[in-house]
Amino acid sequence: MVNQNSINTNFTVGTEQAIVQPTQPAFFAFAGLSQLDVTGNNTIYSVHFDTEVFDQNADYDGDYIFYAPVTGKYSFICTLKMSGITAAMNVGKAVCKSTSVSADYCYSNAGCVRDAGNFRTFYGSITIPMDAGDNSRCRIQIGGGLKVADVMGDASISYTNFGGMLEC
Amino acid sequence: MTNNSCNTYIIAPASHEVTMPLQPAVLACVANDVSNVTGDGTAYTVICDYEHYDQNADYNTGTGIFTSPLTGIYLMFQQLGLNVFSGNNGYLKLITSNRNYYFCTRLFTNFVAPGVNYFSGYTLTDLDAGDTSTMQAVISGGAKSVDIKSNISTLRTYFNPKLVC
Amino acid sequence: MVTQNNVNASYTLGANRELANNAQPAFCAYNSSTDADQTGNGTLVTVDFDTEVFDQNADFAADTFTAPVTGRYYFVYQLELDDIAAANTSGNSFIVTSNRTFYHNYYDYGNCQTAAGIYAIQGNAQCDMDAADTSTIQVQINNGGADTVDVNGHATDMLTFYAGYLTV
Repeated sequence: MVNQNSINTNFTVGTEQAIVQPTQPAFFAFAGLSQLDVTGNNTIYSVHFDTEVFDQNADYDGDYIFYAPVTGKYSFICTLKMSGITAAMNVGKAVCKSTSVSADYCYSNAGCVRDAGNFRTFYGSITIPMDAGDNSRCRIQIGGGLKVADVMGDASISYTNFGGMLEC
Repeated sequence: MTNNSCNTYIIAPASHEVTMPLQPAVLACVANDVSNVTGDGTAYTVICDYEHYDQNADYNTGTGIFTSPLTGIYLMFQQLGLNVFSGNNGYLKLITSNRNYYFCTRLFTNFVAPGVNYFSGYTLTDLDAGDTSTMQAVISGGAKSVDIKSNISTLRTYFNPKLVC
Repeated sequence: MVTQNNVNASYTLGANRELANNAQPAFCAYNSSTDADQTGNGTLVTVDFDTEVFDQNADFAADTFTAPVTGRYYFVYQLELDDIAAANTSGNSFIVTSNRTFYHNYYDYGNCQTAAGIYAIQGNAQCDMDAADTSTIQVQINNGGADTVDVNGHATDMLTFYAGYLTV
């Protein structure tokens, strides 16, 4: 199970004793394109992260869903840069939604704290239990206004991203 | 490290995913709203009375205290869901045996939304065996009328530490 | 590699089979005293973290983390900003790694500050790093007319800090 080549290796131990687990489920993806007019009127929208940076064990579907390969505790991190925020949008939150648990992040008055360019960041992290086959995704829900809020994406800049890993 | 399930602390199936079911890790949340806990400067110790999991039984749902079983580095995620009012300001405080962390220090006047605003804090911290960690809500600028908002199925107020190395 | 005492141990095994890895790269550093007038008029500044809490594997120096091995790293930071003015209507913060930059905290800072002009922001990310890649934290606050925004520090309290570890 432990060796110093990288064929079917669970652990790789460096000379400084740092341990890397190249087959451990871990992924990170970001939105390569903006997603326009997705919320603002209380619509719940599953954000797409179409550009994979890494996907050890191939458990992320390349679009927006992560599937747990084994039962365990999984950590997720998300950062969502939203644009087109208006003053009327007086509520908003990001959500880590899995098969068994839902965690809300950054529930607040989106319109009041948007910056001069009408941007606002939502972010959150959590470690949740998942059974083998369970799935998780990242959602955004903003309300109080019209459906004109966008998810910011870019082919090379990680404005909006979603990552996770099997922790234990 | 064994391949049976008696006292197994590393499980590595043929597909190579590694789980560590005895590794200290906790996800505990406040099961129901708690009224009038802060707002006047009261430092309220948040007690997460419902555990989604507590591998190694290191969290006390009666006191809100996490006790580290082993010296190491712990990743601490925590979040507060509060109903705040115009003029309120404050922070989420993580108290550990070695030091204190102050998260999300801000004014809440313009955060008012229908009932709830969330404040999150994340850090890596060093804990010795036997060290404790708790989280507090410290809100000022008004009356003691700020509530903790949470329930079991939608996680709003929670404490989420784990041993990482 | 696995022993039950602490001499030259990669892992320390607890009485209940808890595993701590004393050699795994992991660090936490903080700002021990306030750095005045860092940004506010668009200046992009690399944040100072002059005091280490811990630095397993000695990978952090001069405000910079250097990855000892290729792997996935988790980073988290908080910046407590002070002397924010109402005119500071935009800004953001970053994790800057050799491979990519992670953007956080698009807000109207002038609308979020306490009466004393304080606003604390956080960001985190799961990053792909190659051996010898670096990571720092930067912040940029805009529109103030002058660089009067401070980055707070304290001798013992964790107001402004930066931490990370090798995950898998």
